[in-house]
Amino acid sequence: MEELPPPLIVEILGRLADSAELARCRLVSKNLNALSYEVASVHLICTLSRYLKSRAPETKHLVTPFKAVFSTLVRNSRTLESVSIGVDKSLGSISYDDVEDEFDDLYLTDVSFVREWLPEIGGGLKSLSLSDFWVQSCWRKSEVLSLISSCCHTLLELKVKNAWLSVDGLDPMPTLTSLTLEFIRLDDEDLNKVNNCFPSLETLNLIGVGGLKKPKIHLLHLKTCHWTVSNAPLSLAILAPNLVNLTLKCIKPQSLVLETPSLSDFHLSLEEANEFEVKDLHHLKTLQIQSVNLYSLICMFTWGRTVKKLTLDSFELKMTGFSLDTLFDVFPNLSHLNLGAGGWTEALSSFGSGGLEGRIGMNGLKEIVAYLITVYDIELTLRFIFSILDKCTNLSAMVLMIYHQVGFLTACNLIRRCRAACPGVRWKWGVWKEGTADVWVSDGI
Amino acid sequence: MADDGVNTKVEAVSKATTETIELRTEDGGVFDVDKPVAMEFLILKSFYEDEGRVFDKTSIRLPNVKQLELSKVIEYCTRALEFGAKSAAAAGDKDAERMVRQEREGFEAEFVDELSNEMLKELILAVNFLDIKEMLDFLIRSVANRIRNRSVAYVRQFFDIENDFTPQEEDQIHQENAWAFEGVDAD
Repeated sequence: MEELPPPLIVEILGRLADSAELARCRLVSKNLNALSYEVASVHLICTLSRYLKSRAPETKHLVTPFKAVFSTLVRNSRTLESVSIGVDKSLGSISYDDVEDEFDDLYLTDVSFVREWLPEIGGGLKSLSLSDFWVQSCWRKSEVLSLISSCCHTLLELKVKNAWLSVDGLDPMPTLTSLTLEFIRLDDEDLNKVNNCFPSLETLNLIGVGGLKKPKIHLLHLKTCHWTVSNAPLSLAILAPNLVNLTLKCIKPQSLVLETPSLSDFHLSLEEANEFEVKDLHHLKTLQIQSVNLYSLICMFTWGRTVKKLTLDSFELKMTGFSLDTLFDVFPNLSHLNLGAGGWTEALSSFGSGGLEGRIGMNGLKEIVAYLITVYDIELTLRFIFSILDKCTNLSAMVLMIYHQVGFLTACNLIRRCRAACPGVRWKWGVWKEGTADVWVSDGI
Repeated sequence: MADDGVNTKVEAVSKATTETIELRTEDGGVFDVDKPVAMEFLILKSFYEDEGRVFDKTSIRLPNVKQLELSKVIEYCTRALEFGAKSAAAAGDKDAERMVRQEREGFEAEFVDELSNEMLKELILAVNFLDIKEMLDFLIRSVANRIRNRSVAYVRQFFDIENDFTPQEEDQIHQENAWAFEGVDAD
């Protein structure tokens, strides 16, 4: 039985989850020990158990300092393309008040720590990830971005989490195509430095980035963007001519401007915006909206004609007036509709007061997924469902997700009657509850 | 295409218009392989395209590959091409893309589950020889999954490697890497 050739063994070792696993493989044989240093990545996580042991008086002398372990790993690797150091997510739940230390043993965006190892390997590095320990980093401003930009001239991907970052001294990084900042306090109010220094970004993830005032994302090559922002910024703007995928979660910005003509997949979560300016989206195919003010929001849309798949998430709706008529007016070419509980309740009550009567049908609609919160008036519900089926002659599948508090028998009865009345449609149903995954009860026949 | 999967046996489904190449393994197996599948084997692709050879019906002998391995390779590559086409068709539609991905993951999980450690290693050697990047990547990932969080003894057995450390050397290596064993509970 031939042994695998060394380059393949190195590839396999490189796919182990982290450097601790890799280090344990060193005991296997002299060959594996030597080959382990050829792996081009270092991936080290400080687990909760390691953290606790390093704090407990009876075990702390047994624990090698985390930063020292990391520096040794980096120093002993032959070439490195990918480096990732961080603390496990569970350490994120340690409250600032529980800890009385001014230690910096896990302060990973500490410039003096990063300076110990980054300059030597920066030249060949393609991917870098720093996931800091919030308790030790949130009150220390770090100039690590400047250091990274001066050492890493071929970096493609950068991720920094749980830190307070300054953009002073940040040099342009024209090779960077992917940037992720999560739970960061960023001293770049309007994102000017980010836009100027990372001009080639194709992917930008700003998740819980604070310190912004009037942030504007202006990136020519951006294709995918995920932006989750608090209510602090006064205005939000995205100018990205090549943006295809956008997930934007905000609350109540005073103004929201989107100049994203190539957008195809848009997931928007928004309470309301005084000035909501969206230049026409001629390529929008998939749209998901989460908002309590669904009705007023969708009435503002002039670009619903191209949308094929629509998801309206809402647990409850503030304003009435929402009806399927409005929906079909704004989005006449849907093939798939996913209607959350709030939308369904409003549409149902709207129907109850006389809707969908003279309406021309939605012939493109093939599937509807609906979330029902009550079935208090089963006859009305059935009439509503049947009238939808009347109007949407090509509807071939209907999925009814029923709130867990509705009686099982009621739900079964509803489905049975739907199936009996419209056997040509594929009926599927399940049970839903907030905060948990949907549970399917039956698949369609 | 019938959803009972591609025939794992010798003949790839040959349509009248699809060209095939005849491949012969070192243990006497003969396979008629659809050209698109065969061209995934970079060793064959360069033989034909880079060298400017005319695509004719001569049979090609693959010296380092056995029947059992080649049939598995053909099975995987045929499905991989199908998934590639489905993925391209679903482009831009996140739900459809996710479905194709899940289908592919399901197939790959089943495919690798049926392989013994020995077979997995033989396949890697064959695929490395045939130079099929996607499949090699998949097999390497599968091996890494099999040895993760396993004891040193298991890894030795998997790679068929003798322990060539003296007890003192073993101690020393353990010392140097003590941090990796420090109270790391099987998280």
